[in-house]
Amino acid sequence: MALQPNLIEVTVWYRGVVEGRLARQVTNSLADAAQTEGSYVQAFDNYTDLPDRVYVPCRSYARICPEPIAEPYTYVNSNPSLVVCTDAALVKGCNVLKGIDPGGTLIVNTRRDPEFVLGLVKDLPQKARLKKVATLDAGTAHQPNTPQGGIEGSTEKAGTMRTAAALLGAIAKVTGMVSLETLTKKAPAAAEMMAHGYAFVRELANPDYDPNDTASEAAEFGRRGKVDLIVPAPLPNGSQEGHITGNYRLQRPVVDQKICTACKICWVSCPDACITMVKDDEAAAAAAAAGEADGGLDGGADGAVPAAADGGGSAATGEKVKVNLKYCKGCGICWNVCPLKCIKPVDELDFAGGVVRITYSI
Amino acid sequence: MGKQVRVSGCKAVAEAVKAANVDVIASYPIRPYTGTMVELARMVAEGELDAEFVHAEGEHAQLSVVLGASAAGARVFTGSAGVGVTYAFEVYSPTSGEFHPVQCMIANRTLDPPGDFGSEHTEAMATRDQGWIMGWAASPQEAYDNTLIYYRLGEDPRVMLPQFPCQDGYFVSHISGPVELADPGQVKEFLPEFRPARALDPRRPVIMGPQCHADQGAAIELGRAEAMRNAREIIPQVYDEFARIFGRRYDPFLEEYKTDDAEVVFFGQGAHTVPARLAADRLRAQGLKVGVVQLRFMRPFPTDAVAERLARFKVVGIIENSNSFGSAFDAGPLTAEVHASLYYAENRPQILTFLAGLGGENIRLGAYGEMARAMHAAAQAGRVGDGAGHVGEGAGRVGGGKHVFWLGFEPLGDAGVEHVAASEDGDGGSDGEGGGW
Repeated sequence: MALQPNLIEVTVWYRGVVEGRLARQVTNSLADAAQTEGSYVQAFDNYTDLPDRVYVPCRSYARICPEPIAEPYTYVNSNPSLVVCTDAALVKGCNVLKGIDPGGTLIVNTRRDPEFVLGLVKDLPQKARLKKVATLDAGTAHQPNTPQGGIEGSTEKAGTMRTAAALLGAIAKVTGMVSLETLTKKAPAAAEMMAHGYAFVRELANPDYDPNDTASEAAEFGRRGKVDLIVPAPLPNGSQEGHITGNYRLQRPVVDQKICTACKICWVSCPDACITMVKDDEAAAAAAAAGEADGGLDGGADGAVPAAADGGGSAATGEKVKVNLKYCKGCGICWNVCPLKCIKPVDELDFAGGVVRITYSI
Repeated sequence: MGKQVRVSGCKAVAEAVKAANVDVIASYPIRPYTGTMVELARMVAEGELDAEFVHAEGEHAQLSVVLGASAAGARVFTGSAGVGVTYAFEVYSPTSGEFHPVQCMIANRTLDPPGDFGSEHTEAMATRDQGWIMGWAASPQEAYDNTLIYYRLGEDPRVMLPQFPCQDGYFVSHISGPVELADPGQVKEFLPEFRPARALDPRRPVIMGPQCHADQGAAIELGRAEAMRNAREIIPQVYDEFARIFGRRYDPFLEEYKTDDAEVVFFGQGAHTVPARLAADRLRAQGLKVGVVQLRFMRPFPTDAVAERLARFKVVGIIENSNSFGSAFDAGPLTAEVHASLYYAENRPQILTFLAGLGGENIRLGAYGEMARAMHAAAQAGRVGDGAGHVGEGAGRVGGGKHVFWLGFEPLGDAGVEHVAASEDGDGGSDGEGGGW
């Protein structure tokens, strides 16, 4: 632990707006319970994430310490011993294990099993420090809704906890950092969901866990030095490497080229210019370059969806729809405007490829 | 006895605004103060607070809306941060000059550049001479209390001045802390209904802020100066009242921490005085007699209290969290005001200034250790700079010694100590390379 001995850091990854309340319920309730059990605590959101933008990966933090927290203004949790993800696509889209404390735990809200989640982190250098993975189907929070306060440093009115309660129960079971009893006492109305999470969380010991890998990643507290205020920027006809947005995506648009007539309504409707019209042969070449039948985009190359390039498209021009998965946020406008309903949303997790791993500064 | 909650500084202020039963609120979003307005909007929408909530088209409009509403006799609230504070600048002087006790919270944010979200006091300090009451909260509880205290102070008929209750962005605005929410009965006793002697009324038309001639200006300015002097005089009474009703006693001007036997003290305002206290505890365990003095009001500046109470220390280390480029000593407003306040004091402490936390940089525990050691060395040497024998003319150098330091950029050796590479906390160095940052 870089910051202070005995300090426990908990990082909850969530999606902007739609899961913010859920994440703060988890961190605040955890801190409250730990405080009741005699610890010094903090709960706060990451200050530079974009929590007011829908689906953007964001972080909420809790800190628990038996002694007073010596550096209360540290902006981030640099070495969390518990990482919680409010949906599994976050694990695919972000390096959620960055900085994880040796022997740390990952808990993910998903109906899929822990083995699946382990598969999602298998490429990460930190995976040997991960001791345990757990999953729980705590319900989904990511339908569009209206945030009731909460963003930008305010906190929600106390409301009913459902998903958060189940996740809290799972945290109590898997880590024991607070007891189910304390959690229940603080929020009696959520007791049933907490008990559900406690009972149904599925745990798995990480077979790749290496107890000898105790080298905690250095906390990134260093002053970064002077920044030149005039910096080179990409030309507007290129893609913005500094702001890849593919990890906002929960569902991927898949085009049935057999039906698509290349009417271009999706092309004109995409707010991020992620849809381009390509000639048959270009689409086939792009799909081949992507190297995966599901049209994944390994290596960050633009993806073509889908690989099946036979038929469809515009008979007159031979054009087909191609989606840039590196930037597609999965907003759903294309599959809603398509007059033939030939663009379908498919769970991002159903594709083995398409990992757009963005490592956030911790 | 009120209800105990754990909330951020933003939320704490919203709760206090609700408790103060404010009539008109004008909002415009800018991080980090936005959370307060998000919360107030919800309170109004859900019927918890009966207030007019006006979403303005910018900060200049925000201030204009609440100025007008205050003139009509409403208790009003608005707020901003960073460049929002400076965008509204034109409206500040009319607000105080026409004696409208508007409250405008500031959650600090840097100006451009660096323009990041981090807290430094520069933007608020830029408004310090506009006739507004101004001071900093160091915790969500203080932010809550200041909202009530500032309304009480500003609406006093002898004062009638607008107020800037400030809180450091993120450090106070976004990190939750324990807050005791007041009972409505307590608030009612402490903060009576706002009934200005002169309010706009269609039945008795008046002009507020008419065009004046050159020979009328000085008298108007004197009125505002007197109101500010009155504020300084009644602040102790307001804090006595606050303590009697709410049971929390603050020192009205200078909050002192472990100063009874202190030789050297950190002097600052707002959030950074909290880790300074934690650092003082640790440094005391190492044998350094360190204390902390927290300034409550920048305006009115407590000249006498500063002169009398800082005189007993050997060294005062100012944590200067704002810039005033080219000012006396090339530091910030706090440095200039503290020096000026001590000019007529019989016993003057040595004063070191540390420009620290600029851009919202977190001042690490080890850096406090480094500053304390520099102060301690200056105390041993008896005079700033004597020990190191540095020469050189110019700002920040008195008697041949440098006493203003950009923390982490300039070695503190000039203050009489060799540069301290690492403290016991393991995070000492100021070179930024795995150091105290």
